[in-house]
Amino acid sequence: MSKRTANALRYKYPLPVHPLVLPELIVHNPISWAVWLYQYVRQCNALAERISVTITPEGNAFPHIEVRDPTDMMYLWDNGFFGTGQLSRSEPTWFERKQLELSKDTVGGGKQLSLEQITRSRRQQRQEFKQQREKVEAELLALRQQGVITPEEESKVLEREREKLRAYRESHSSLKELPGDDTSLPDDIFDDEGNLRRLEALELLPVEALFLTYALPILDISPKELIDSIISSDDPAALDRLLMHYTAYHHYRSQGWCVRSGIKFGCDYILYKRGPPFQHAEFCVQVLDSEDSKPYTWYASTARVCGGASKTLILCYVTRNSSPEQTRRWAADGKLADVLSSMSVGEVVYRRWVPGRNRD
Amino acid sequence: MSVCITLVGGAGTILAPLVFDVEAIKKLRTLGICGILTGTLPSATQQNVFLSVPLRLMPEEAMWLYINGHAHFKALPGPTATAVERLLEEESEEICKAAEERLQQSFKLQREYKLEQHRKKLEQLGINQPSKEDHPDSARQSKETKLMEASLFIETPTMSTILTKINDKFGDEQAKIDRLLCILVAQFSNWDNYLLFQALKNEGYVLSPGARFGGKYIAYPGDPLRFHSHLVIRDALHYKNEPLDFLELAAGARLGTTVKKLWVIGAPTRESDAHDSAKTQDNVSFYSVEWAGFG
Amino acid sequence: MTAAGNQDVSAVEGAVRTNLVHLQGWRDVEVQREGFMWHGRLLRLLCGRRPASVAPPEGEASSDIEYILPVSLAQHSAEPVTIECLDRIFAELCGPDTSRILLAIVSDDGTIVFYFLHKGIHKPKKN
Repeated sequence: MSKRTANALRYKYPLPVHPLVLPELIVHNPISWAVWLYQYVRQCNALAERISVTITPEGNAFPHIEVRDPTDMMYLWDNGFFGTGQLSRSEPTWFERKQLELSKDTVGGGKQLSLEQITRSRRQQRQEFKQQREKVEAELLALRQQGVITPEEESKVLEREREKLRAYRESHSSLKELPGDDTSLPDDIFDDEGNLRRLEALELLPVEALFLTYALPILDISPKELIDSIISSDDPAALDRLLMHYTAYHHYRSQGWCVRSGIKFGCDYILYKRGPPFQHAEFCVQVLDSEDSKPYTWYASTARVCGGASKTLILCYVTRNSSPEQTRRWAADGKLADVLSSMSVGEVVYRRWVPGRNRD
Repeated sequence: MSVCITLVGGAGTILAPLVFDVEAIKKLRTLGICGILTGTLPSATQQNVFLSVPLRLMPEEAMWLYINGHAHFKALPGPTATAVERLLEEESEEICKAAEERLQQSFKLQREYKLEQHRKKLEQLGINQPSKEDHPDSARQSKETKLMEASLFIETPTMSTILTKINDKFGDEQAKIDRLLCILVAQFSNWDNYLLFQALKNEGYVLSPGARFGGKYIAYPGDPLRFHSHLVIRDALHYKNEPLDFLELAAGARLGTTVKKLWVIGAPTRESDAHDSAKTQDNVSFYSVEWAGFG
Repeated sequence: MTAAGNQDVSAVEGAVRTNLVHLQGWRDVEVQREGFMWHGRLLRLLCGRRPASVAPPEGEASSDIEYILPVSLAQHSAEPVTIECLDRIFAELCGPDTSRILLAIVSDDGTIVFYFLHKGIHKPKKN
């Protein structure tokens, strides 16, 4: 099965909401009714149990919202790409990778390379290439300083070395597995029975967790409880900020975008059309309060970073239509619907325009 | 030779240190002050390329030149355009006459030069020069004269003569200059940023405005035409009171990686008063940030 | 997640240690015992040995020991790291020859991004 169809099957549902596939109902036929009802009851897609979530440490300034159960982790990832693995790039694959690594020493290893290994291999190759190139340049410089070499000879040598480097690069371009950097393993990855412990949890952003309890009934914690445990009561500005960010998150999720953390690009969120395994994200979103103003240099640098990663910057302005105290009171009572209806969202796309280059 | 920096100022207008003289600009470059050319013709406006004098300096560059004795200031009240307008109204006749005289002088010199060249060429070719009293050739002579007149060119001077008139008129008064300097530093920048500038200059870097790269300055290890810039320097932080904003740091370092520069943060370590510490060496603590390559 | 022999490892320190050891392949990463009080919090570094894939500081290939400063992205008011703070860290908590420390920023989704903080003005890497 090709990777594309495998992905299409695995990530069939953009959200943890599965529509029922019911057979055709022939109204006057009682057997048809029976079949239909049977299918209906069987396919009811409410989770057998809600997913449990741990918040560590409780009430602290920097809490982490974690999902520890492996099946729950995969369920949340497969149905909408929620959360990030703490020991992986995005998908929580640490356990499988570690197992593969350990089993390689005993059995012939597997051919599947994970995202992390691919990245590591790529970076290692680039470093080796740079070292080779530096060596060549140092030799050339020495020769030039000794006055031994003429410009024609120099260019010939350069061309020869470039050919060598190209050949070297091609021979190493096939992705190979890197041996682990160390042969010894840290002790605390094994539990008392010698089995590999599951050290990785799926960590959810506060807005993701809020979405998964308020908008969809997935987590086993109520919205009010969740807010109380992540925001300490003596920090009203943090609550305002969370509600503003949640409004933007909810807005984009409800439009069908896959929204993930944008810290790697210096912005708040990035938008994927379907998800990380399919296509690179197209947009970076920065959530701003419509009443705040930022210095123009901030816009220039944020846009520059996003532009450098081939993404378009979207400035998402959230306007509050009621007073901050009122929204805080609603949130305290758990009335998030009122909070959401009191905010409006507007977007501005910010793109760098260079007069010399953008004429075409 | 002290460079003349013109400060354009007035109530509520933006101050810009400008240098109008081409020789002065050359000298500034040898001192490691590059500035940005901003001059354009009103009837042929350009953007970004092919700009001419005046050279616009950063406030920090102007301050550094003044403090190190390389430059002196001349103040221009109000924007140059209004001053020029006023001058044109008052002295229009004299200016016109002077321009006309200059033009005629230039034409005269050119005519003499061309006639001389023409004569020399005829001699080389061995053709006899027709004498001036030769009437049958007067038609041909006038045609030649017409061609020659058509080939005269009008030269536009590099230095505006009107501007020198303004300079002379409004001179320099020390108190006004001091006040303007304070406004200059306060309006665009702050003293801490100047200390950063000074510290980097002492290390031999050439600094330019860094807004393109999301910072305050960019630093070249030498002349900008020889090197790519190495560093993007952020606005000065307060040594004790300003915590690092890690999101900004991550974005800055990430931008630095894409454009192959280091992100530099710095803070002066002593609280200094603008006037007293002009000559003392303040210590500036710098840190360079780069992405670690993993994670 | 506690480092061997250390008590009261804060959540941020623990998260950075886990990430370095189990994802990035670092060895012997421990939370330092000594630190100094900074705005009501004990500020400590982690110390560990970098793997071969991480470039050593220029001219100092001899030792593979690296000092790590763990911070949380959402800090600002709670743990203000100022330039003065960095000066103190370099003066008191690292070895005398340390030219750089690794800054580990823990964001609220669990990802950790790493940056080197060099003391003074450094030369940028060649491409």
